[in-house]
Amino acid sequence: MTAIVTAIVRLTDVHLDMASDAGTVNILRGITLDIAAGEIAAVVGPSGAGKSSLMMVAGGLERATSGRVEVAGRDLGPLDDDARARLRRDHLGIVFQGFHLIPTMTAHENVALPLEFAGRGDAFELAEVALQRVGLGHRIGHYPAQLSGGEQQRVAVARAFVGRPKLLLADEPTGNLDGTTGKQVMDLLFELARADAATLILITHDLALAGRCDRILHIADGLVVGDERTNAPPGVTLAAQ
Amino acid sequence: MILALRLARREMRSGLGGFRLFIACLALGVAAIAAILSFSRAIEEGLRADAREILGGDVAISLLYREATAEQMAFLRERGQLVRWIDSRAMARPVKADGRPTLVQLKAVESAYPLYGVLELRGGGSLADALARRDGVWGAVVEEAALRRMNLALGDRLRVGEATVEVRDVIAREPDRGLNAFASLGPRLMIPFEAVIDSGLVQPGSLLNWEYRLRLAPGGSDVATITALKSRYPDAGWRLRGVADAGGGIRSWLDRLTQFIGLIGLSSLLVGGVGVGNAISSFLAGRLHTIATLKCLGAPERLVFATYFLQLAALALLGVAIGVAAGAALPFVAQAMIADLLPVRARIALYAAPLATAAAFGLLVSLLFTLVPLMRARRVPAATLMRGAVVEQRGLAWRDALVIGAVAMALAAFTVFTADSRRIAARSAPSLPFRCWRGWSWQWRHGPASRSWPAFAWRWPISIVPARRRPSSCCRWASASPCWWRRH
Repeated sequence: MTAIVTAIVRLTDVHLDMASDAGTVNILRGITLDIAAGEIAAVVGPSGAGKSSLMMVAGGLERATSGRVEVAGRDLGPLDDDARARLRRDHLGIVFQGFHLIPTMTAHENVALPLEFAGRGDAFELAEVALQRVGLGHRIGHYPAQLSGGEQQRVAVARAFVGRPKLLLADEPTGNLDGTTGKQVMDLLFELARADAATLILITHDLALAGRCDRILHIADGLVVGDERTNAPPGVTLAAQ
Repeated sequence: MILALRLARREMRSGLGGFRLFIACLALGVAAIAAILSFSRAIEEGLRADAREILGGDVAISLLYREATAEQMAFLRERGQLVRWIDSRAMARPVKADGRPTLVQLKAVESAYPLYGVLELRGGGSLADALARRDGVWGAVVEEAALRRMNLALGDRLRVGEATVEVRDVIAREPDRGLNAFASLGPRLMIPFEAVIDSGLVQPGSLLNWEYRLRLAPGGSDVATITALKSRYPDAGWRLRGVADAGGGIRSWLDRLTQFIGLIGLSSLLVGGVGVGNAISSFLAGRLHTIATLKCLGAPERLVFATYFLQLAALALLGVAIGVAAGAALPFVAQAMIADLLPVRARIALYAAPLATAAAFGLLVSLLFTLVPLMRARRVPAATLMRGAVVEQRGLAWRDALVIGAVAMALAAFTVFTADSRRIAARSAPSLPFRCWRGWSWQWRHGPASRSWPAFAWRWPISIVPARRRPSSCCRWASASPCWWRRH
């Protein structure tokens, strides 16, 4: 029996151009791809290939110059900035290489933020649970400056997962961490993503790390040049394909 | 709004480090306005409370170079107690060899003087005793400055015209001095009315001012008396004033001073507003990543705006509160330092209206200068987080520009509404931005020396006040330093 899974991210002929002193730069040059719900996909490629831009377009952080971007069944094209922010709040979690925690807020407050934006009365209870899930239940009152890099990234992971998002975007999440800490963070990310059945799109240079994903997308010069499945769960296929 | 408050409170944990300039600019401007408005109000209250003392009676009658006729005197005496004196400039010549002849402001008073208030002498005695004739010599009292200028001591004699008088005491306070404080060329010399008759100064055509003061009988009205005098003697050529006209000269001096310093205060506040805007822009530039992070996590523009608006509003309130407190305290300090120099006893107190006006100016100016950076910050794209400075910040939306224009109009309207002279304010307000720009551009063209902070802080606000609105005394005061602003 085959389960029909809808695409959580669908890009159709997406272009992204940016102006520069040297003229217009074509960052994405017609990308078309679907990412299925629950899938863990790695995006790999050389620097400047367009990996992070792809993530930004998929996360509604950047507006595509042309083409169609659908996330969680919604076309991002007609949405204004506030509507995109609401979409991120309700359906997306993002983990950055640079953590991007708010320095004036404690770990507890940082993690509770997305839920506070959603008007959840239980934001701080859920944030505490999320911090316990990433092993930082004892450091909820600490500010980012009082935490190590690995701990800060775990707070960022807790913040990304606290709202149980359908889609998780992670841009080089281990880039600022040493090998051991990076592995711990990645183990945590995979574990949480699988536990919550969330889709994870992981931008990475690390091919070994990419090998742990269900699927590897190779990007070069703004195009998808390779799409291989490493460990696709049996019986999962995309409705759109 | 509650969430915005919570976020603002968290953001303020970083302390006031970047906001010292913001708070100082606001506090200084508000303090200047609050102080001058409070001081002006205190003098107004003093004028109102001491109107009869300042006028010298209920009705003042002044005649230039001639005295009232016997019939007119009789008419005046029918209406109440009358006192007269002669006011004139005269040369006083000390009798002793090392004395210096000096031009004085002579006042020859009848024994009933003053009708209201008390002429206080340094020695504590009464005026009548001091002026009484002893051993064939009339007494005189003088201002301290007269002793210095003429090299005199108490007990020395001097000659005024043909009369000889003996200096017996120093005037500590003359109740109606305020009226003449700014017209005097010399220090006061007060002698009895009879002495001036002996002096031979009273001749046909002498340049003497004849002053008459009436203390009306109970129930008498100064307005009715003035009307009756005008009706009975339409061609008398005298100047008549009632209680409402008391302190006319002081009032006009006060109006000019209030206008001038008030304009400087407001200009300083506007100049400070540029500093406020810069401080906020700098602060928000340091918060770009936080704002972008909030947006990445799902914060709408409105929430970002409200968060930082509330934070800046709290800081603006702090700056305004400091300014109001300082502005309320300054008149008390000024009174202790310059009370003797004032022509009227200022009723220094905490007056709500001037302080509220200054606070409103402070809040409006801070609102005006915080809106632009706030509106830009609200539109910081979430992509800033990844692309940093590469992301081009968007300009102001036309709706935002309209809001800023409305606040600027509100500030201009409030300035005109609260000004003593709305006509002047209405004319000056539109040209203020141009004058600000002209003052700044002059400084920029004339090298680093003119751009030093002390020069900037003092001269620039003056430069943006139109030259014809600057009282000459303020110009002299300001010209102690190189007065480049005069060229404007």
